[in-house]
Amino acid sequence: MAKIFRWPLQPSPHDEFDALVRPHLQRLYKLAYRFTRQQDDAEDLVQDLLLKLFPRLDEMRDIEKLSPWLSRILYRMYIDRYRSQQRSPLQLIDNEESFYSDKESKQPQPGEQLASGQHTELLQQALNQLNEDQRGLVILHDVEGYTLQEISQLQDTALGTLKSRLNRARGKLRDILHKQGTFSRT
Amino acid sequence: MNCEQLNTQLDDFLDADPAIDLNGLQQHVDSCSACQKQVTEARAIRKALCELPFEAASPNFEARVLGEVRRQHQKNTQGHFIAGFGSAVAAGLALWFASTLFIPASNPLPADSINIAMHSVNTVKLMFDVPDALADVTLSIKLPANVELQGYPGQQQLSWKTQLKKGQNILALPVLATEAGSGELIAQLQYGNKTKSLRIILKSAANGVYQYQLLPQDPA
Repeated sequence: MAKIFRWPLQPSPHDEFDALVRPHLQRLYKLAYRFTRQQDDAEDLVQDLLLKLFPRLDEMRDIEKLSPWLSRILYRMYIDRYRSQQRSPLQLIDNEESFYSDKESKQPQPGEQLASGQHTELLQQALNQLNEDQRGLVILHDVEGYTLQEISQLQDTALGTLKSRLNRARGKLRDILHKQGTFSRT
Repeated sequence: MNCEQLNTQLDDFLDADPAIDLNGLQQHVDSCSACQKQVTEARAIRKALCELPFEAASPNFEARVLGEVRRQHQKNTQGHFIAGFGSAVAAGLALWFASTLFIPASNPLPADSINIAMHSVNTVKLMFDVPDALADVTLSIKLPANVELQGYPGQQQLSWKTQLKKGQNILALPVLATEAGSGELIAQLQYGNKTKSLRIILKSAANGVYQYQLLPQDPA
C-alpha cells in the first residue's frame, strides 16, 4: 500500500525562525526606536538583526530565554553601527555652559508650567544631551523597565558600576532639565 | 539627616534601596519643603520617562522584515541548488522512481494533462517507487516563477530531509498558480551521492486552464 506523505514533512527553517522571533519583534522595534529615535532606522536595525541571526537558527533553538539574548545582540549592533551615525536635533557638546549661554533666551521661564507635549519634547532633548552610555542606561532602565541585572547581562557590565553610572546619568538629566527651565532650582 | 545627604542619595531613596537609611531620609523630607520639592520633581521626571511616547512601527512591519529574511536567504542558497543539479550523478543508482501524476477520473483532458485553476490550491501528486526503504533522503523542489507552494509565498526552491518506505511513496504538493505562463517544476531526490530528477512542464493559459506534460526521466 502506498505511503502518502503530506507537504511539508517538517517545518521549513524560515517557518521555524519566524515562530521564534515574531513574538519579540514589537519589543525589539521599540528598543531600537529608543536608541535610534527614528522609525526608519529602528526598523532597519531590527531587519539587520534578523538577517544576521537567521544563519544562527541552530544556536537559537537551544536558547532558553530568547528575549534578553535578542536585546543584547540588538544593543551591540546599535553600538557598533549607529553610534557614529546618531542623528539628534541637538548636538552633544562637552561644554554645557556654552550651550546654555546661546540658548538661554529661547528657554521657558524658570518654574513655568508647560503643556505635556512640550514637556515631553524637552525631556527627549535633555536625554539626547547625555552621552551615549548614560542615555542608553536611562533608556533601558527608566524608560523601558529593564532591571539592572538584565542590563548587566546585556552590556557585560558589573551591577555596582551600572548603579553608580545610572545615578550619575539621572543627576545629569535633572541638571539639564533645571537649566532648561522645565523645573526650577530650589 | 540633612539636605546634602538627601541630595547625594536621592536616587537610592527613590529606588527604596535598603542599604541606606530610608526612614531617616523620609523623616527629613517630611520636614524640609526644599527636599520635598526635589523628591517630587525627581519622581515626576521618572514618571515622564516611563511614559515617554514613541512612534509605532510602520504597517506590515513584521511581515516585511520576516519576508526580507526569506528573500535574502533564498537568494543566497539559489546557487547551491542549481549547482546540485549540474552535478547530479545517476549512473549506478540502485533506486528508481516512477514519475506519475495522479489524474482525477473526472478530468476530461488527455492522460498527460490536468486542469489546475489559477489562484486556488491544486494538489499535484508525485509518486516515488523505490525497491528498498531509504532513510536520510533529501527531497528538493524547484518551482517555475509563476507557481508557489501553499504556505511558502515567494519561495521557488525548497528542500527537506525525509525517509522513503519500500515501494510507493506519494508526495502531495499543494501548488498555487499565481500567473498565467509555463515553466518547469523539478523534483529532485538525493540519497548519498546519488541524485535523480523529475521534470514537469507546467502550463497555465490565460483562461486559467493549467496543463502539464511529463518529460522523460534522467537516464539511469
